Amino acid sequence: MIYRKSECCIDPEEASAEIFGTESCGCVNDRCDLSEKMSGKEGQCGAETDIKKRLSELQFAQVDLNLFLDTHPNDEEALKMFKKISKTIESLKYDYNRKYGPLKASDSSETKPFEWASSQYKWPWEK
Amino acid sequence: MFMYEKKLMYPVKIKNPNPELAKFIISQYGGPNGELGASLRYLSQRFSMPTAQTRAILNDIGTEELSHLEMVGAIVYQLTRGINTEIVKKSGFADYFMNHSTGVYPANSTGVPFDATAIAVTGDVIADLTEDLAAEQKARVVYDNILRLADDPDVRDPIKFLREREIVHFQRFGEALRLVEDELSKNNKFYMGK
Repeated sequence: MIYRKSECCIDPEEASAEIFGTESCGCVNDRCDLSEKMSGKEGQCGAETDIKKRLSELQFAQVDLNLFLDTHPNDEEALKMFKKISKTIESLKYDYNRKYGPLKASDSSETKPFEWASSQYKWPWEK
Repeated sequence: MFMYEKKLMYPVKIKNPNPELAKFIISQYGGPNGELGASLRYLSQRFSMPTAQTRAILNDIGTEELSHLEMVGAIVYQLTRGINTEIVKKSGFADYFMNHSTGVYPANSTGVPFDATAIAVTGDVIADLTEDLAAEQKARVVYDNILRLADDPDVRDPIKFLREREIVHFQRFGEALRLVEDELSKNNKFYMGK
């Protein structure tokens, strides 16, 4: 199972960007304990969680659910979960782009040289 | 249309170059049962699909196969980094190396370049979906064979992921075929004899 169970989890539907800023949680767990501060330890939601791994896990879940929904278009549970995962992914992208460079060309900033093509960030097949 | 996200669908981090493995793994890049054929087949078949679900599933699985193609290319790329001519000669990689150096070229393990005759688009939904079921199984078999011959855990890990996805795709195509058959039968009346 790729979803991490966590005591500290912010429900992406209730989180607002102003409160949590860039410390967005990568969980899709329904349990939400807003009082617990994100400690950033492995296994807990947190800014220190390897965001690349978390994003990959979530995107994989999204792709798989996408395929399932193509042939089960009226499955309510799957539809809800798909929406939730998609929202969580969106909330992670800002931090991802800051750390690893633009995920899509359109995520590039105005800095020179053009971030997308810059050798500062590796292409995915490079070790 | 197609967008690109600069991330592999599943990580490929191979520590030890090994062109001998690259020689047969290239088959899943440009071979008859490889990811190039799969993505081309599904993305071509999607145009003539008659129902919403079949159009969607062909489109989405075809797109996923492109990300698999990228992964296989990355595996071959990493397996051929930092080698020298001695290794090339000893590993049996010289035939490929002669024409492609350590580039990534779509061919099968015996050097036959990618050939679209490996795929079919009949424009008939039943035939096309049935072909897709077979295609996923054939791809799964080749991944089985790679696992039989590759010991390196860094290589086995992404290959196992790719193999599992073929099995999932097989399930999805099976569902799509069933849905289409139901749709085509919906006005038929079947009578039970006494």
